[in-house]
Amino acid sequence: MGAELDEEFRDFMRGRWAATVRLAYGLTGDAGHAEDVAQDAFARAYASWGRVRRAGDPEAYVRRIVINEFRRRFRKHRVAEDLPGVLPDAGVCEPGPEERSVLIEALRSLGPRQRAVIVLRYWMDMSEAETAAALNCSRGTVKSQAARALATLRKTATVMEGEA
Amino acid sequence: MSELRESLDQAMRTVAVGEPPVDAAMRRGKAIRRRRRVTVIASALTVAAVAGAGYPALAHRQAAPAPPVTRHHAVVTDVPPAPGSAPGVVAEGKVGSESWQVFVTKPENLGATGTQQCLYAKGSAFNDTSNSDPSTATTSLDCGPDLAPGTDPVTFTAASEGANQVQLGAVAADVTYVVVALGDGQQLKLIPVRVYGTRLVAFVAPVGTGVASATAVLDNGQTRTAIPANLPGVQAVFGLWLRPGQPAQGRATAVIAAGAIGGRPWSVTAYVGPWGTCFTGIAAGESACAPVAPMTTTGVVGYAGNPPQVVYGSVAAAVSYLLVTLTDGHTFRVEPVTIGDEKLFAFALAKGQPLHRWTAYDAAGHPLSSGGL
Repeated sequence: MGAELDEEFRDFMRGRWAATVRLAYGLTGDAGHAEDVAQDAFARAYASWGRVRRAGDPEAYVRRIVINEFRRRFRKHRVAEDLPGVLPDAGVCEPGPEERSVLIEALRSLGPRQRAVIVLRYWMDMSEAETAAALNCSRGTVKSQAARALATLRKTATVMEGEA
Repeated sequence: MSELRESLDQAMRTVAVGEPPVDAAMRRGKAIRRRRRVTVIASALTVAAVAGAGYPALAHRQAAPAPPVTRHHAVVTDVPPAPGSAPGVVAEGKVGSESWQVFVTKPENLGATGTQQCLYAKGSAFNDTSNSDPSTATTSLDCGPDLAPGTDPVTFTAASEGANQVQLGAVAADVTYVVVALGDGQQLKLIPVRVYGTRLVAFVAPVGTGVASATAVLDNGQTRTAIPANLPGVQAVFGLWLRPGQPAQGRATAVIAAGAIGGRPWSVTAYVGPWGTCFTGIAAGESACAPVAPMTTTGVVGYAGNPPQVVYGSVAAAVSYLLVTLTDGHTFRVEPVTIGDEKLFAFALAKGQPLHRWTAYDAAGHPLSSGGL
């Protein structure tokens, strides 16, 4: 790959790194995994950088890889992570509890699919149909998971704020 | 819900993010590219892109025999997915005592980027690679456009990871099953399975064992056989599919060009045979194969690098040499090398010296054809 393309990729990754890590964090709830997933997504984009940039929306490409990777990990760990109250281990870069927002804590308390629905639907502004396609589930599932997740978030956030 | 979005936005900003590991991502990206380092050129001589210059000293050698296939004796098994297997599984089996499973993701619409389907492998046959995700023991091999059968009985997509190669084939509707013969004499019978709407087969075998052939048995009892190129250190590359009795091109190997640019040596080796024509050494760890045999027209088959650094192609029998003209007006002469029934060439271009035009001449110095980017 030519130096110019390399430099272009560097600029792209520097510019989109934080947003991509945060998307991965929102989906996985784990800072260590989030950086891994994000780095993997950028590596894949770099591997096909010529094609990716020609397509005109490299950010969408990276975002899709992150979501796919989340889905793949989610399938693998579905049973373990669906257990209520079981949170992924905190990664080394994870902010301490005092630095973490109440909403983030509440988000982390959700199951993977509910967390993903909230992140994609309400943070990434994806439509119900897009969220359903991204998570490979029906629109009905997105609706029901969103309703449950929002209820849990309200409840958890209220409790946490009360404890703070 | 915009209030929730703002809250989420604010909350996400509290997540500490380190410096972007740009160099590490690029290293991983390069590793991904190395795994799919054999490019199959869809139709030779339809790729008409060239570029420019250096003054390579061409080195010729006599054609050498094709690289011998190292004989390993790991017993390889291959079966369709068991009932109840996870979605996407194409086949599973063993290489010696190591297990493997090959699966694909559901084709996904990436919007403007087109569609994408990814190929994965897992099992102990892949566990010792740096590319494996330790939490799932899954090795990501490649992603690309949706798998779909082409005009051949089987259209193989291949990747190598560590000591093993993975071959995934999209199978035409009229193929009943496929028999793969490995280099050590073992045979695998592959039964197509429909995965996400496409009939697929897959097998895993040691790269060092090589693949001798794949034979597709059609519904009407006829067969078509492909003899792949086993290039040194990479997965087998399938090219031409032949009918019984159809003559195949003989095997021959030769270094068709070599030299140095900026103190860095380079060389291109060509392998011709029943698969068509392959060029190796076109860039670090990269090869390209064209399913054309014999390749007897004049033109650039492809190039490596961006901007192009190494250009390779073939010429007609009457062509004696090429004159390459750079955009700055400099010219240099390239002499093709005869290998089997083909006359092939390669040349390198120094940075900042793009190619303007090439012209092919006969022995008497008459121009026969020319081309450019």
